Amino acid sequence: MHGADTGAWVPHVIFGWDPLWVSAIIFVLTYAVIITERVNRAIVALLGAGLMIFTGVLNQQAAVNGVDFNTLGLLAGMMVIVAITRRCGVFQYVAIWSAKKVRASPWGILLMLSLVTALFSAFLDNVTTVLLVAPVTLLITEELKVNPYPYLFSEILFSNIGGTATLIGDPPNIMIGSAVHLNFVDFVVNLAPIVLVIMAATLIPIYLIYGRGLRATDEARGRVMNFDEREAITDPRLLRQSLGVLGLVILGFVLAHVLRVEPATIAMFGAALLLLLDNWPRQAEEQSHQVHHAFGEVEWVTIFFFVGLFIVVAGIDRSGILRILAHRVLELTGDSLPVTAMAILWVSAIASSIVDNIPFVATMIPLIKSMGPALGGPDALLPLWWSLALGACLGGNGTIIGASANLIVAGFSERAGHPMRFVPFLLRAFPLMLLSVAIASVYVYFRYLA
Amino acid sequence: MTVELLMNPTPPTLRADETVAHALHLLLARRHRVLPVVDPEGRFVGMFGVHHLLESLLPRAATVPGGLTDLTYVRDDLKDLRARVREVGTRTVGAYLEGRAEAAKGAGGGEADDAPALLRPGMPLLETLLLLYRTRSSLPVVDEASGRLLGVVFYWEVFGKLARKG
Repeated sequence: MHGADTGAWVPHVIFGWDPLWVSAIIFVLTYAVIITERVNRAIVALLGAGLMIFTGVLNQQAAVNGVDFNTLGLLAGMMVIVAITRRCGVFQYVAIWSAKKVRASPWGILLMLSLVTALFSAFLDNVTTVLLVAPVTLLITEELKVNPYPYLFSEILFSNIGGTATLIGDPPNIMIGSAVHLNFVDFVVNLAPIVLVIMAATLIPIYLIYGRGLRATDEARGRVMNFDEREAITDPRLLRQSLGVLGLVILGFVLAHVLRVEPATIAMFGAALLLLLDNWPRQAEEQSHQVHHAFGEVEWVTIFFFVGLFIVVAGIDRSGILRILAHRVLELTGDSLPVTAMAILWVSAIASSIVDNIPFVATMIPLIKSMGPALGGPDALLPLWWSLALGACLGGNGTIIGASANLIVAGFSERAGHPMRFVPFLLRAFPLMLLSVAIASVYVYFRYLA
Repeated sequence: MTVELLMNPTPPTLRADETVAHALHLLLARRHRVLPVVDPEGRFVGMFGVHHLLESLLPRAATVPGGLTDLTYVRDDLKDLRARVREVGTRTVGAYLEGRAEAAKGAGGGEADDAPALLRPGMPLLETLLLLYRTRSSLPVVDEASGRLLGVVFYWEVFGKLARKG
């Protein structure tokens, strides 16, 4: 992981300046420009990374050592698998099937689509999930003649909550898992139980705010019941292949520690296997086209954003500034593990509701690692890692800009003629986010700290 | 030689306050795919055509950018579609175009993806033909300063006009 092994490089900063200050200035500038969203975040992160090298805080080898290729490989591998799988229509199938299971009752559909979103988000990235679920939601609500806003609002919340439950559900978890060698099972055992409680607790206010008022005529419900979900499956062969590979990949994650392989290897191998199965019968030229398309679906902006961030964070870690910061935080919390855990949980949640949780978590990981000696070694830090994961993932629900998935749904909703404004969303979502973090606090305290 | 060579200076037009039902009647009667829409002062408002009517019959979930790519599993019957035609028919053409523009603007997408290309007076002939080729549609000629509709280059009239002038 970044910061953990940047080689034997000793900074030789230009003009003999203090590496601590130079790296701090580059770091703050990079993050400040990222927050303004004036320039694409991947460009900013890569420029910041370059400056860390040009000023002599890092050399190229130390920078490359700072990049966590396990995180990148896991992200890219899963993106390829999902890009191929989505073509077979299985996600629409599940959404329609679930809507019909509740006999197309408006509240039942809201409930089911929220749960489906959470389930998909636990295994796919949140943006992909909402890209798949939001259009079906709009179709169903159009047929029911009900306002889609409550449905899309709830799906935003559940995509972020569901993503909290697993190693692969949300980028912060991928980063934490990779940095601290926590595996898929660790995440499920430690986070999934509380995620289920938070989901149940979030549904109550959503029912009181929106659910009670949802009405649809029998005729409208009949239209939804007439949907034939089997027709949504556009390619049964691809469906079998995709689900087979996805199942094997998840099994691989579960058995990763037995197999002694990292998640990136499993995801990339799964992607290659699915590419092979999908392309085996095709002619060479068509194969090139299909493989090009599948790789084109990888979000390269996100991948390069990660590369740049890892290097920027390696720079400040190398200069020693994170150790100083960790020391200061522990002074404030009186070297108390419970106080530190709660501080991390709440600060992560509030920060992640305003800024991207990826740079935040990238910085927090080496910072928390630096607390190890003072708090009793790496094992004692476990509650802090769960606090960081819960805070960073759940915090995304606080505002419409809190997570990429929120912005994707808001954009889609607006194009469909149902704008999601910042303040109305904030007024409903922020209290619900605080509720989820409060529940998470009680959980972390009683499970790990009491 | 410029766009004026190919332009029909007295095209049939729709007014923004006319209903979609009236627009449909005119499109069918004149066998045009699109017609220009103008306000009472003769300023160009937009192009309205068969594409918009088709769009209005489909669920928004399928026509919005990033929406569904197929509707194989939806079983709407003829009765539903007729009801939708009647419902859309009562709206005004202006309100319809405005709603689409608002949705596009609100989503930060700038102009709608199918916003009509405009021809300007004096536009060279080949550039005009290139735009017709790319858009595959009849195009309005609009005065930049006043926004007034000067005429329309109809897709089907191009060859007739070229032959006549030759």
